[in-house]
Amino acid sequence: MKVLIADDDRVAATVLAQTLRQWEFDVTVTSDGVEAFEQLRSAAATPTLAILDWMMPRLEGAEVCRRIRRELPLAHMYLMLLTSLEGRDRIVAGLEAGADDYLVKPFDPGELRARVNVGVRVLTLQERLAERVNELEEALANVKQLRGLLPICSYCKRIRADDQYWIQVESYIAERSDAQFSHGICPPCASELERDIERRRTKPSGG
Amino acid sequence: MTADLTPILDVAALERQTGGDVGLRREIVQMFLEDCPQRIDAIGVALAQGDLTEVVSSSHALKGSAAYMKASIVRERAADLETAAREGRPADAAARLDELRAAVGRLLPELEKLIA
Repeated sequence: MKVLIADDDRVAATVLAQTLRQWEFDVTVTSDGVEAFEQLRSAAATPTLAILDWMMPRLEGAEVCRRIRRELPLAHMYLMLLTSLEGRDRIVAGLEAGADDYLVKPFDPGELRARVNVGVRVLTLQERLAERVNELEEALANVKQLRGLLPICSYCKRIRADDQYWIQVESYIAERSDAQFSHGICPPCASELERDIERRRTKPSGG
Repeated sequence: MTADLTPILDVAALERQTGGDVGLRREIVQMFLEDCPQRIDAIGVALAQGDLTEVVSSSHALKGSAAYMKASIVRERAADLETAAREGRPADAAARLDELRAAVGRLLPELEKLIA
């Protein structure tokens, strides 16, 4: 899983990056909010977890969150804001700006692990849902649908197809759906047929 | 009173923060030893020029690094300085900078010992 760290404090960024690398994350570090936004935008197709410091040169972490949510509303990004102990009163503003979670600096390794795991779970779930939606869209594209007003003959039950030819109802349906027909005779028709055969048999031949 | 009992550097906490990775600990201690004097100088210059925005920025950065170093006294002094500058009290900020310098003066030799 890709992780982007944005923090202008190189001590903080180094501890965070090394800790995440030990947990086998693919880590990139930047020290500036504008660069963080550009990197996230160019990686929009890849599920990414970003850990953004609140106070950064050029663009604050909360503003990075706001822009990502505005410009890439469907991107699979899990955004975490880093705030100092004194900055906890800004947590609500950070979450409203589009962050998914926050961490108070300096992070506790156990808490970092737990919160990052939540992010990984959310991103994995989003990815699976997106794959499922793609599968369903593909399936839907292949489904033949029968709908609309069909001109049907009241006597022989043939249907007038798009090419103006009258065709058997079963041919019409078979061509436009995945339905298949087995042929048989229903009891009322079987009785009618029997009576017809009997009439023909008993009718004097030759005239 | 509590500040007197607080160690200038909590080595055990620093070890926990770096997950027992001696290489990482050495790396960040060296970074801090390089950055901290530069930040103190930058704060002094900014304060002399009345640039409280720069004082806020540099003291905030120093506060963050000190927190990872587990140097809570330096962290608190930097936080006090940041607050004074943010609230536009340059005289108070100057007094807070003196306290920060004193705390940093105690911290840096301890960090140097750690990587000697």
